[in-house]
Amino acid sequence: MCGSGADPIANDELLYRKIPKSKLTCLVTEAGVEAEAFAPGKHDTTGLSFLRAKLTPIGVALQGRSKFGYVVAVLPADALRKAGIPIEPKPEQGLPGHAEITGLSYGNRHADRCEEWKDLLARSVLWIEPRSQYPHYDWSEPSSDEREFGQSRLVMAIVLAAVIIAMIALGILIAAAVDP
Amino acid sequence: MKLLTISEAAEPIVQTTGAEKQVLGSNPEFQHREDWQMILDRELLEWGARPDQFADEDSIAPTRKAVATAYQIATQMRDAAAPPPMWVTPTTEGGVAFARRDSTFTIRLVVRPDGSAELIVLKESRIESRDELSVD
Repeated sequence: MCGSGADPIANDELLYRKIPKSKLTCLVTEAGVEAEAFAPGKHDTTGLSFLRAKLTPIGVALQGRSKFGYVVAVLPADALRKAGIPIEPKPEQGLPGHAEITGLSYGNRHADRCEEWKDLLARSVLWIEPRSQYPHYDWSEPSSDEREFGQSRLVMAIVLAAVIIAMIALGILIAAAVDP
Repeated sequence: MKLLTISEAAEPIVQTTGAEKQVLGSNPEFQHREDWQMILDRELLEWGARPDQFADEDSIAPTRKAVATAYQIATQMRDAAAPPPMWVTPTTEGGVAFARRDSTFTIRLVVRPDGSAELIVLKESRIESRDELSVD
């Protein structure tokens, strides 16, 4: 962990969004993270807070004002950029990895754009930290069901292609036999 | 912004989750009602009894008015056999949100702290519609 935190956020960086444990079971299910996890609170007057993973030890990210503690949603910076959500470094005293989405603040929390960005952010979550405690909250890889579905589709496509080729070959043979 | 009744609000939820019928079988309504009933019994009743469990950091606990309205909506959604939400969550402002999401649509039914409610439908993360809900 090094750097002042003022350097621009690179596309290959990971970002942390803190989620209070008091709401964990409501906001996070195996289906994913609900958009409310990205709702600006009354302290988010200048923007929605994130932490840069490369500048923030996970132990620091899991601490804060909440009496119950936190988990952390992990998002890739490039997903935000591709979605057109600007995020800027905003280092704070003792927290060099602090960053903000300045267009998403308590003042505009009811705006249409706020709803849209919350949805995009919720869909961009890769996994929940501590990952070892929440392995079922990991959407960074396709699930085994999705993998099996993909494999079965591939097998079906191969079988279908083989059947079509066999039918064409049979057709040619029959045509050749009928027409000497 | 138009005013929707709860049964009207259930329509886009049913339409955008039509594929689910194939997953749940020809008659998913029974399962939907069971799921809503669990939300009523295990979550909203508990929240009404102990709302302070969510008062934390800069979050306000759901107000009694919001929980009461959420209960009313959930009861009517159960009776309409609407597909159940994937998330039922307190909002940071003291309201309650029900949400469903698939690869294309997100549907959020947000009850505000004063008991008023709105239905927000997003398609590919763009607002498709946003309507006030009439809860009587």
